[in-house]
Parts: sequence; C-alpha cells; structure tokens
Amino acid sequence: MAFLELKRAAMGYQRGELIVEDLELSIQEGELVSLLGPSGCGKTTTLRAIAGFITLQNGTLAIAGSDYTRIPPNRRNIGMVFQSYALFPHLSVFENVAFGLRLRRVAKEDLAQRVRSALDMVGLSGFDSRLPAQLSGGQQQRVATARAIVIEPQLLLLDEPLSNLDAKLRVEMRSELKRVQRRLGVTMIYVTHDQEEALALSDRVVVMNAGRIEQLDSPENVYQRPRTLFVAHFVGFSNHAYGTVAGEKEEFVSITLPGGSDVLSRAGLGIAVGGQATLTFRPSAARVYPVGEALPSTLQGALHQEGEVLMRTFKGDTVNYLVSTPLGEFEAEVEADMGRWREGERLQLAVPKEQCIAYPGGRDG
Amino acid sequence: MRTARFPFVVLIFLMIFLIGPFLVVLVASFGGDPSLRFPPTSFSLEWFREALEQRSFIRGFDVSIRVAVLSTLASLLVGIPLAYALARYEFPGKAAVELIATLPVIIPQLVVGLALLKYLIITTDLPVIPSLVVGHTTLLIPYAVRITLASLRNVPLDIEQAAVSLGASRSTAFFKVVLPNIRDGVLTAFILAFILSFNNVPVSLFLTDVGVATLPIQMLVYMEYNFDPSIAALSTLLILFSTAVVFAAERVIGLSQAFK
Amino acid sequence: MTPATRWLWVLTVPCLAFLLTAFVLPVALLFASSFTGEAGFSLSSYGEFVRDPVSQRAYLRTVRIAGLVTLIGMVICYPAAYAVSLMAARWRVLLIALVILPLMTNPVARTFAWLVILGRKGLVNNTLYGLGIIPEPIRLLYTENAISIGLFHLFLPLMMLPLISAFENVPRDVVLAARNLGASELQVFTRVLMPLTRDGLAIGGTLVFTGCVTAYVTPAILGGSRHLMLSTLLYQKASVTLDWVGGTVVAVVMFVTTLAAIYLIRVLSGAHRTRPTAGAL
Repeated sequence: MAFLELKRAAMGYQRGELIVEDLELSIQEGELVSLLGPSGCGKTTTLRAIAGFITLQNGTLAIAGSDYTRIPPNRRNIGMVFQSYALFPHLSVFENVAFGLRLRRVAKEDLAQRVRSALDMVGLSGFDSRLPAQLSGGQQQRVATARAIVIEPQLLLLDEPLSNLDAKLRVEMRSELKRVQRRLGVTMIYVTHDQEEALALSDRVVVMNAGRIEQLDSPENVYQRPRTLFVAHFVGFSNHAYGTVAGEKEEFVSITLPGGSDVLSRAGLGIAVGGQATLTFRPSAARVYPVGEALPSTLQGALHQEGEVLMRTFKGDTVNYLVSTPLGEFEAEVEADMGRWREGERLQLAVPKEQCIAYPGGRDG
Repeated sequence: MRTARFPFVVLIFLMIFLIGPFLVVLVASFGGDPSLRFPPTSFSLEWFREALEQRSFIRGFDVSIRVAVLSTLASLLVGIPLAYALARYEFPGKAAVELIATLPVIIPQLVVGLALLKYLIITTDLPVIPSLVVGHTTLLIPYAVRITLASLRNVPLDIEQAAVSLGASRSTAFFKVVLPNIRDGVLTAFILAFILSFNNVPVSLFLTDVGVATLPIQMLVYMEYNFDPSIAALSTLLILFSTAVVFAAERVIGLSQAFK
Repeated sequence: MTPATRWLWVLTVPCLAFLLTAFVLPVALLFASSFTGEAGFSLSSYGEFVRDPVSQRAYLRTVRIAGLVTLIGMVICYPAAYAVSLMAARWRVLLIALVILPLMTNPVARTFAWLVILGRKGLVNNTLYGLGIIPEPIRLLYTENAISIGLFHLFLPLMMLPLISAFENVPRDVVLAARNLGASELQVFTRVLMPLTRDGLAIGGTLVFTGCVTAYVTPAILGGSRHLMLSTLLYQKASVTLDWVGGTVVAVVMFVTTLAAIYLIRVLSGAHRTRPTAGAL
C-alpha cells in the first residue's frame, strides 16, 4: 500500500462548487512528487486538502495506512512551506523555527539544538535574532523551509515555494530543496506551474488540468511522451498543424494535411484512422534549409514546408524564426550558425517524424 | 510644479481658528478675576485649586474613568471576535451583520440614549453606571470592529495556516500569531474608544441622574449655575490630557491612520 | 454543525446579541411608539409637531445652521486640505495630529472656549471696545451665529480628514500626466482633482451635516433655551417637560433628517460609496 492515498477525492472551497473531482493519487514513501499545471488547475487546492485546510467533500485521504479524512490540520504533523513563506512577522528567525517545537513542549536544550540543526540544513546561520522583514527573499524562503522540517513531519508540502525569487536564485534553491529532501528521506509534494522546475526536481510529475490528472509519470516521460495535447502544450509543443489520420505504421501515423500532402508523426494516445488530428512539435525540433536544397533521406515523409521569415529573434546560442507557411505560422529554434536568414527571406522548414506527435481532435478540439 | 499660495493662506487661518480657542482657554484658566473675562486682568493658579477641589468634578471624573474603561473593554471583547469572523469567514447574512455593527454610528446618539432609557433602563431598573456602560458599549462597538477589521486585513490567512500546520489549534493560532500582529490596531481601537466614551455627552445625558454623572455632564450642570474660571482650569487639564494622548499615540502607533 | 460554523457562532453571537438587545430593539421600539395612538397606527404625534411653532422654528433653525456650516466648511476646508496634501510628509503628520486633537477633546471644554471668546467680557468684546469700535459690549452669545461658529469649530476636523485623505489618494503622476497632455493648472484642478476628490467632499459634508443636526452640547451652551435646535428640543421634551411622545417624535424627525441629508448629498455628488467614518461626536 502506498504511503499517501487520495481516493475519489472531491474538494472545493464552498459546498456545491467543486474545483477537484474524483481525484486518485498515490505516493510512495520518500518520494518527491510535483503537482504541475496552470493556475486554477486544482493543484494548490489538492495540496490544501492534504494539509487539511479544506475538508474533502467526498472520498478519502489515507497517510501511512491511517484514515486522515477527518483529522484536523493541526494534528496531521505535515510540514508546509507557503508561496508567501507566511513567516510570523512578530517573531525572530529562531522563534519562527521554534514555533512548532514549543507547541510540542520540546525541552529547552533539545529545542535550541534542533532549531540550529534545521537552520544549518537550509544553510542559514547567524540570523537567529533577525525579524523576517530584515531578511532577503531567499533567506525568508530558507526560514520557511527550516520551520517546516524542524517538526520532523511525516510529509512535506510546498506550495510554489520559489515563485517569488529571481530566476538565478530559483535554480539554486531548487537543488537545495532536493538535497534537503534526500537527506531527510521525507516524502514531499511540490506544487508549481513551472515545468522546468517540476521536471528537474521530481521523481514523478503529476500534470493537472481543470481539476483532473492529465498525466502521472516520470519527468522523462512527461517531457518526451506527453499523453495528451494539453500536456504536450504545457511542456513546450507549441507548434500546431491540423489534418486527418490516413493510416498507421508501427508507432507512427500518417496525417493528410490541407493541400493533400501526407506526413508521418508519432501517434498520441487515442488516435484513430479516419479521425481528425492535431500535429504538434517543439520549436527546437524544427530544422531549416535553403530554398531548393534537397532534404536528407532521414526526413523522408516528414512534415516539410516552404515559407517566409516573418520575424527573427536572436537569443545567443540560438535564433528563433517565425515562419509563415501555407499551413500557418510555425516557430523554429535553430543553432545560431543557421541564423543567416533575414526577415522577408524564404526557407524550407522540416520536422523529423520522431519529434512530432499527433493527438486526436481538430482545430477546435 | 509651481503651486498657488492661496490654499496655504486658507490653511493657516483655518488652523488659527481651530487651535486658537484652546489657547484662549489656556490663558483664561490662569486668570485671577472672580468671574470670567478675557484677557484676564491678573493671573493666579487659584482656579486650578478650585477645580481640583470641586466634589462634583472629582466624582464625575471617577465615574467617567470607570465607564470608559469598562465600556472600552466590553466593546473590544465582543467587537474583536466579530471583526475576526468578518475578516475570515464567508457566511449568509454577512452584509446584515456588518450593517448592524455600523448602525450605532448612523443613529443619532441622543436617540440611542433616549431609547435605552425608555426601554431598557426603566424596565430593568438598571443602576446608573451599568446603564452608562451598556450605552457607551453600543456606541463604541462600530469603532472597535472597524479598526480591528482594518488591521486584520493586513494579516494574511497564510500565517495562521502556517501556525496550524505546525500544530496550533485555531485559538492558539489566534492568540500566538494573529493577536500580536494586530496589536497596534487593538491599541488604536482602545485609545479611540476610551476617549470617545470619556468625552461622551449625548448618550450619557439621559442615562445619568443627579447623584451619579460623568465628568462632561457634571461640567454642563456646573456651567448652568456658575460662570467662573474653574471650568477653564478643568478644560485646560482635559485639553492637555488629550494632547498628550494624541501625540503619544501618533508616535507609537500612528493614530491618524485610524481616521483615514 | 461543522467546526467552522461552530466557531462562527462563538465569534459573532456575543456581539450581535448585545447589539440586538441593547441597541436595535430599544431604538426600533422607540420609533414604533411614535406611530401609535389610542387606536393602533396614528400620525397624530407628528401632526402636533408640525403645528407647534416652537418645534417648527427649531426644525428650520437646525436645517439652516447645519446647511450653512456644511457649505462654509466645504468651501474653506477644500483648499486647506489641498494645501495639507502638498506638504512634506513630516509636516503633514503634525498637521493631521493637530486636526485630530480637537476631535479627541472634551466637547464641553471646546465649547466653553467660545464662552470666553464671545462672552460680554470676552475676547471679541474687549478687543472691539478697547479699539473704540463699539461703545459698550454687544450680545454675541446665545445667538444663532454663536451656535454656527461653535458647530463649525466642532466639526471642522470631520470635514478636513476625509478631504485630506482624498487629496492624498490622488496619485501625483495623474496630475503630471494631465499637464503632459496639455491641461492648464486650472484645468488640472477642475478636470482631474475635483472629480477625484468629490467622494471626500461628500463624506465630509455628510459627517458635518449629520453632526450639526444631532449635536447637543454646542446648542445647549451657546444657544441657550431661546434658540432651540432639534437636539436641545428633544432633551427639553424628554427630560424637562417629560413629554415622552413629543421627545420621541423629535428623535424620529432628527434621524429622518440625517438620512435624507445622507441621501441628498450622495445623489448631488454622484458618489456611491459615502461611508460614515469618524462619526458624530
């Protein structure tokens, strides 16, 4: 049996108004799982339900084999790190971290020692008597983490803990959080809307949309094999073309595009011959060639269009092209040495069949 | 940007008009004349002695302090929980509850005093001090609720939930985390409520009797029969008292925020 | 009952129960009692009020004084509040504290100051006499003007404070933006500042008018028994002549007048969020 199990869980902030319905989620002990999705997808609601701040309107929650559905939040022994950090403004760093221990009536010497070691673990010492307002964002984040782990929680919940930090610090703190989790061996659920963060951090990723789980998988699978068009879109498959499924060949399908050309693509879940399909690929999957040049044989049967550069954006190592083709506009991200085309010039664009995925549904589905 | 001088001229005259009378009272209270005149022809501290020895003033002061302390505490005791409920819960009838809690500011205070006298005090035969406490408390509740509500809105729900996730019950979270963070608001409400009660006339007017009355009422009664500078002396003391309170409160908690 | 609803009851019931028994119920009964005659519903007590010349005069005097004080207050406080908003922060804080100070002072003491200034041997008479402008002291006290001056002084802070915060809430950049778009200083004032501070004017006006209608101490001390306003009339009827029904009618008239004023000012100013703030003292 899994360490944490949500069964047929329904949750919402007001009766009769559900944000999440029929959620099934099981997490193993010691695992680091991310809940990933856009705002309003129900990831934070799910986290708050596990913490006990909202009561399940249906279904059950079990942790370590016991029923937690009706246990009040203060008796769950679950550590939580908030997006705002939620440090107590009137208490010093030391007292913030000691708060949970004092409620547990931990003896004085033991308490000081445990607070120090928690602060050491997050790499923040020498700030004991500072007030939260006197700390930088990164330091506040460390205090929030120390405060949550010092009570030795059976489960650690983090609600977008790094979203208020600048990009550089975010990357640094992310690996520190992972290191803390590994050292403590604590089960951790991490809510984020940042796919890169979720993929870098997690053992498994739960991609959520509109209160449902779209995919629960390893980071590699989510990135390479998005199960649905929604997940594909979320992990960067931002180019779309629409057509009809003409046939299947092993793990590939052939799609008839407007204008009559057939192109090959990997088949997404539920694709059926004769049905509508949405073909998608990442900008970085696209290759560009001069007009008139013959394509390599590996691109036989691949999506292939000629078009005009509408906009060129230099990004350092790479160059982005926005290309207008008869099928619509596509974005291509290529190595900087392929960046010789200017706006208004024409080129050929092709996408290897291994890098395209087709999902059921047309332009409006 | 060049700014016109006119508004500042108006402001200066307005401030002279506003503060001037206080200075006049101050000077008059040091006068040595047997009846009130301004400017005084001689100076003495006689009227301060007179004011401080006046039995009705001493008894009035005593009643006023007691009523102010009790009604302030009572209004905070019921007002803070209500403000907390308004800040933290959504519930049917919330708008009606908010209306009831602000109504005492809208109904003229003389009317409140009369209504209390006619339907509560006479029917239950309540003694003067408890009646005054009841009357003043109704008047103070809107202030207690509004000021604490404003400072509760600055305390995010997150920090309360953080306390709960660390093992605190809801009430522990309130006393250990919420209360320390609304301390200034509660202190502001306390000072404002205390002063409003201490200075109140319209509600007290119907609820006092000849024997037991608050200081402002005793002053009104005294002025009906006497026209000597002892009232000026007492007024000076009261003006100095409120000046001290206002400036101390502004220093410590920024009292002026409460009037925004 | 869920734990949340149980908490909600614990938090709200004490306050609501207190207000309902010690405030809502007595006031409602009082209002209702003025509409009952010997045979159920009746307006006869109001008929008496309307026919009584003393009541008529008190009513008109109250509305006249309140209206005058409110108008003068608006005209004078508006530029003054604008000046406050232009000052440096530390001076502004000091000025606001000075404006609050009178609000926090015993109203008897404040009104008493006017006895010293306007009395027979007071500041004004002595000055004018000393300068040879008047041959003998003139009567300043116990007149309608004395009441107006006292009330204006009493409620001036209630006009100033909402106006100051209205001006403070106008972002500086808005004024600069208007200038950048080619508005003259006068146009900035009429097209930007006026509309943005109208709510403050409405709030101040409401507070001052309702304050003047309901104030007791000032008309009692500066008006004497010959210049009754609604408040002093109410007290006389209820406490001196023990005419309870008459007093109650005055109370209702007073309340309705304040409500009408609140409504009227709201309509006139086009403000939708007129909220009572510091309250009538």
